[in-house]
Amino acid sequence: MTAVLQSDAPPIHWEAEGAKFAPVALAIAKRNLAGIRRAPSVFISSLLFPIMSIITLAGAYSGVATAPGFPAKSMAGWMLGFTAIQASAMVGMTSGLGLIRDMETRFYDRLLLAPINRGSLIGGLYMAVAVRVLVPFTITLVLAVVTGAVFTAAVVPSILCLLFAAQGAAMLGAGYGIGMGLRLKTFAAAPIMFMTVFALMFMSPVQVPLSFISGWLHKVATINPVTRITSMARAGLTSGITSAEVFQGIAVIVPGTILLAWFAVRGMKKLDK
Amino acid sequence: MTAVSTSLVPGAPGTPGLTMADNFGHYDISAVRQSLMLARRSVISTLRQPPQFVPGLVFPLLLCAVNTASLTKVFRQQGGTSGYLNFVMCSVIIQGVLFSASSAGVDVATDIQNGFLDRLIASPLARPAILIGRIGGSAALGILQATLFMGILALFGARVSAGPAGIVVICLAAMLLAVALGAASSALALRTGSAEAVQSFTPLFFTLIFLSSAFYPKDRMKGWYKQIVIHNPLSWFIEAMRELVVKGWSWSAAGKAIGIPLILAITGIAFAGRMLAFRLRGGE
Amino acid sequence: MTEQPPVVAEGLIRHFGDVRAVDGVDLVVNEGEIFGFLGPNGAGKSTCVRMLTTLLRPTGGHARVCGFDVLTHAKEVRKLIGVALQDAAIDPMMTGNELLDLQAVLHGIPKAVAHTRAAELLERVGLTAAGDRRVGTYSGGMRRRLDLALSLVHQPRVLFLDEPTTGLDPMSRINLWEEVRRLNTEFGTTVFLTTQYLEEADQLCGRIAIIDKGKIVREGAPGVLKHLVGSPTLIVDVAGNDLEATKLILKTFGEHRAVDHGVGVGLSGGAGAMADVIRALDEAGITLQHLELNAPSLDDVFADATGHRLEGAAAAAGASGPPAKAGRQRRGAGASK
Repeated sequence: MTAVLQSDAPPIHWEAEGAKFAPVALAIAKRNLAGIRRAPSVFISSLLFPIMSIITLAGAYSGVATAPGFPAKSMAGWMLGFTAIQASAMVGMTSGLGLIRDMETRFYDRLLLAPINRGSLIGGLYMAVAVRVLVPFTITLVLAVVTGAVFTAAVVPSILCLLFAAQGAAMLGAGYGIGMGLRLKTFAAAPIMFMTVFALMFMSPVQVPLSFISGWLHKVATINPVTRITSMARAGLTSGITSAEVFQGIAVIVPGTILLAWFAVRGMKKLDK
Repeated sequence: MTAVSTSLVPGAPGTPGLTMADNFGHYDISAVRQSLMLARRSVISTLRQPPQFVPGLVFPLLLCAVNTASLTKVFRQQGGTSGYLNFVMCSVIIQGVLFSASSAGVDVATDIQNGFLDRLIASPLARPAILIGRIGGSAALGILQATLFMGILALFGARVSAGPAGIVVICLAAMLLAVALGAASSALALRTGSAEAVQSFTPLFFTLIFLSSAFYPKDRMKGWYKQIVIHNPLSWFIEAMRELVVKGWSWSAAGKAIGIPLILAITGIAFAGRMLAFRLRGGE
Repeated sequence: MTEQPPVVAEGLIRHFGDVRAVDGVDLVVNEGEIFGFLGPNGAGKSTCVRMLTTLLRPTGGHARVCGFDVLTHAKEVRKLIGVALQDAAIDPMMTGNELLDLQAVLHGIPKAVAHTRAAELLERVGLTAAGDRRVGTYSGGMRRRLDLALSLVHQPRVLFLDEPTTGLDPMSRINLWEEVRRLNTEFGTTVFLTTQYLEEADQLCGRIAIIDKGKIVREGAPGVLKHLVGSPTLIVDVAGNDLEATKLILKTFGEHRAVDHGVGVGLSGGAGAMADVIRALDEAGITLQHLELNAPSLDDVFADATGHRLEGAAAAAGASGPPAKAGRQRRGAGASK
């Protein structure tokens, strides 16, 4: 075989190894993050969502916070836990929509044709999500504090709880979004994906703590894993961080992330079917 | 509307080429019938695209169910009478209307993008029928949504204290709001010609309801947020409708429930009319 | 590395539900040749390419590329092939250079090597000046050339091109053909391309396979295939009421051939028999409206094999390009007819 183009080029030595996991994942993450710079309108609407979400929810239900026994000092603080989780889950899930767009434009074929460990394509999306999620996280945090959120525990551990829960929600959203994207492959699936995440989010204690909720929602919210994640996020904003809140949050996030990552990887393996 | 009675192209028997007229018998098909046909088309096209109307049905109902389960206790503790479900009934209807508000505009923009509007313009169709058809479609869907939501919530124990007259007023109010928003989104579509631009306004409509007293009594709110809520016309509108549900018949409540969206509808239609003229001039 | 031909397929099958998109394809592509897969839309060309390039799992049969099974050794296959798929799948938000960088990373090419190669490849396809522009601003021809450059980043042994010129203007098509030819002659790269254009297959390919309804119906060098059809095609147009009589007369000169208009016959006596045809028609009192003699073409090969003509064949042969886009403006339609 003649070396193409450069006669003095080394005999295609990279062929033997193929591409490594990390550089490919990094390149995928980089491309994904570059989208922020290239499609500012999409980026701005992703900023607007958490902003409107925290202002409207904290405002519309602000009266509720004055009820006797309400655990947070203000609705802004109470809603910070929820909106940060919701926005993070959305950031995660939309990485699946980006993947669908790549499939519809056939760009994904280019990635699938490469001699790589296809897990790196998923790994890259997760990396981008982990970075992206910091944007709505910071915005909701700042807005909530400005509009009256008060930490009841030490600030640093409180924010760490919130951040861990937000990253967890983003990872869970990413696994779900990527897994669904790889299976459904069409934008027509977007409303289904949005609705399921919304429904799951809203069937948890949104405006009031679990003990205030009655009827069917109480039963659903009790078993809804989202409840544990928002509890962890709210730990430092309610009556102090308890180990139960932290451990239950971790107990949902870690296995859940593994399970949904497996769901995503399985979807990738089924692609050529 | 003034144009409703104008008939089509002045009859010019023997004019070659107007084959469309053959299908209608003569040239005397009225603008009313044209509008009705176009309204029918707009309703059918919405119903054929579930992603356009399903969220507007599912999401408000879901939020209503969740809110009722979450807030019933607190609402009563804080002095609420008549139950939370009755309290939010009209908010659910309005939210549904807000959700599907942009569908008329999206359809107009799609018609512009794929050239169907050009075909309508090129046909001997009364110009106002283009708009009346769209907005009429929105009105029909608004009434449909209101009755559907009231029916569903009635199954869970919601009641309109003002009786049948109250129900009629609520339906009319929903219809007028749908007309106002349908006209506004159509105007936007006629101006921009882009479905995405119209769609990007949906969250705005949607946010507006959260900045009102739709989901919790305003006397429980505080500070800057309360100021916004008090001055949001949507609050006045929802509170008037709510009075019919919770307290019973009152002429002033009925007047507000109809009057506020009527003003919005007239403004919206005037605006849409101007934008249609803009589009007919070739967008200059 | 291996003595086996670059592409081998044995009884390749792919079903989509009840549709047999590819229905038992056997083929061998030899080292250093340009092999063309010719067929109409929906014949199974792309499905075949997707299976050979590991993107789609075959329902049945086997395929090996450079000696590696596409199913069990997909990763080895991917290292050795370059692929430019239909519609030039490129992200419009990225620049040409960024795409080349990404492609290099995907193939594990060291950064230093990647940069010089990217520059060389852009130069080669004439996109050096456009390298830092977003692909969204490129013309159709530029996209295809960038796609070609991308598929060459890792110096593939086999290059798969799926309908590389569909939708391109005639000038861009010819440029792309030249580039493919150059790759093949200068570097010995084996090329497997699919096309629905007769002229492309005729001009570019050393050997072709004609595929119709998922099956290969003819295979060989274009010249040989045309020679096998043998006789030239005579096309006769007459008034409607003479049609049946004309058919009867022409039958005596050779077998019937499918044509777009009029009556077609493969003259078994060659071009010299034309005078006899005219005499016979004249004696029968039939007035000729149009007479045309065509040397055997790939379209005849196709018609001979399948009983129907290749879609858009007439336009492609006549204008040496795809049919021009239909009029855009519809305004005022229906006003008069």
